[in-house]
Amino acid sequence: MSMSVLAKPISYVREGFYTIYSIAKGHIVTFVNLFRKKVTLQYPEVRWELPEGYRGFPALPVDPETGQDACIGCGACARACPTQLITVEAHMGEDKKRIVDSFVMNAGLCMFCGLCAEVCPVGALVMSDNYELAAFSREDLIFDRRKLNELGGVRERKPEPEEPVPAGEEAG
Amino acid sequence: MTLTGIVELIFRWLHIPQAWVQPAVMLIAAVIVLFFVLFVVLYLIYGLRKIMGWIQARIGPNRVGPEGLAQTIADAVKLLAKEDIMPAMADKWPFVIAPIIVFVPAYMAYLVIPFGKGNGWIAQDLSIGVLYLAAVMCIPIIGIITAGWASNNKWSLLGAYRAAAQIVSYEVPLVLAMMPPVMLAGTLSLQGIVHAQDSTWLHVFPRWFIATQVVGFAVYMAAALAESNLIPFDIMEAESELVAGFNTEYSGMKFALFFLAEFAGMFTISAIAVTLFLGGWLPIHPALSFIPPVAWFLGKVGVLIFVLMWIRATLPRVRVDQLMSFGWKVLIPIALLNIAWTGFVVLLS
Repeated sequence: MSMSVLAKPISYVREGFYTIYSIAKGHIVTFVNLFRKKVTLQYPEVRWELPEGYRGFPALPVDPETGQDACIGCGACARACPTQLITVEAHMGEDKKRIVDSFVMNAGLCMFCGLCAEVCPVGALVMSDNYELAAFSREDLIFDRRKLNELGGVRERKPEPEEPVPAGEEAG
Repeated sequence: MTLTGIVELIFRWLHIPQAWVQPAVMLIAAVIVLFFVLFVVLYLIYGLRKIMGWIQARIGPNRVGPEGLAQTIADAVKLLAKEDIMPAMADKWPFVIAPIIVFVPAYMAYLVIPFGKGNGWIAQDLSIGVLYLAAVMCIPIIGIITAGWASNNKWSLLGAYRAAAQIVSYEVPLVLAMMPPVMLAGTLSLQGIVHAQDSTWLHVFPRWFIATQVVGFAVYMAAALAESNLIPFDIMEAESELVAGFNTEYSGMKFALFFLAEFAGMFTISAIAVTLFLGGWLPIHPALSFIPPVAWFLGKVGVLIFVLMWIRATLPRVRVDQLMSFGWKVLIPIALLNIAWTGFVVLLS
């Protein structure tokens, strides 16, 4: 009988102590955080270190030897683009090679999915690490081939992939 | 040389009747206190933003001036330069008067705060200082209700209703928690209360009132937080429910007055807590009395303000019903028991 009378006051007191305990615990957490390393980047002065495989705006890097990009005007990127922001115009040259007349991308529509760079058969189109694309007009967001070359910079030479030599040729 | 002496000298030189000296001294003292309040508020806001930033792993303001020290000055100038908008359906005179009613008592409370030893460091050592403080701290609620009503906006009115319920409830435990130091000191004068704490136990431990009044101090701080509507008791401004509560419709200079009153109140409640419980301007040990009393006072107030900001950065806002039941069912009984305990302490000593 006496236990049931005391049950309620005891639970109140217990609850009160638990409240004080949890408030103190919360304050310890915030106090520890007071001395934590700050995560803010002072953006224009300090920049984020881009992780490998970062997808910025697609660009056409230039080969340092020929001074040109490797685009062959096949139009695979234009077909792959979900928002159809790439237009490639090319005509057949005398030596049965395509000559690229124009290569235009509208950065205002790009969603940075990287499908264009993925389908490019010669690896001419790559995802650059440029994410600062703000412009004052929509026209400034339309990138032609020259601008894309500038954006892509100099192509770094990749080591030639070692192709296994077919067995028959070796024997002959 | 005192302020009165300097003014007397200047007035004699300018051939102004000596009867004008006393009013002039009062005016100058009021202006000095006003500038002190403005300075304190500006740097409290800066400190709050810095500390909240650090706790959230941010840097806080750091662009305007060295380390962002001029940030709040720039904010204040911007606020004063803003257009003063008044809603078309607002009740004009109450709308204008409300911020003044809120700010003036927050400023008046500085009258009796003892910043240091002697009469030079207190504007007026009233013999009923604690009573005066309790009375002055009740006034802002009138301004808040006026603001809520005059705005003619449902959020403002709801905020004002909540404020009325909250402040009237928390007035009781606040005053009850301010009583024990008065009982122990036997005086209502704030300088008298500080002097009553001027001794040590075993020549080492300071004999401040917090030694027997830990519970009283906790009740005072909780009630004072609610009284000056700081987080976690800021339900009258709950921005997730009430836009901004009673000051939703205020902008520019009038909003600045509300803001000023809130932060001036933050300093006031810390200063009162230091005076009543933490020995005011007394040093921790008599051997450390080479540090000026005003430095001790401001240091203790600074620590307490840091604690208030720390609480603000930690706790979520309480619910309306929780707030009311906490005030009436927890704080008031504890405060009453604490008074009984203090009576016991007084009887023993």
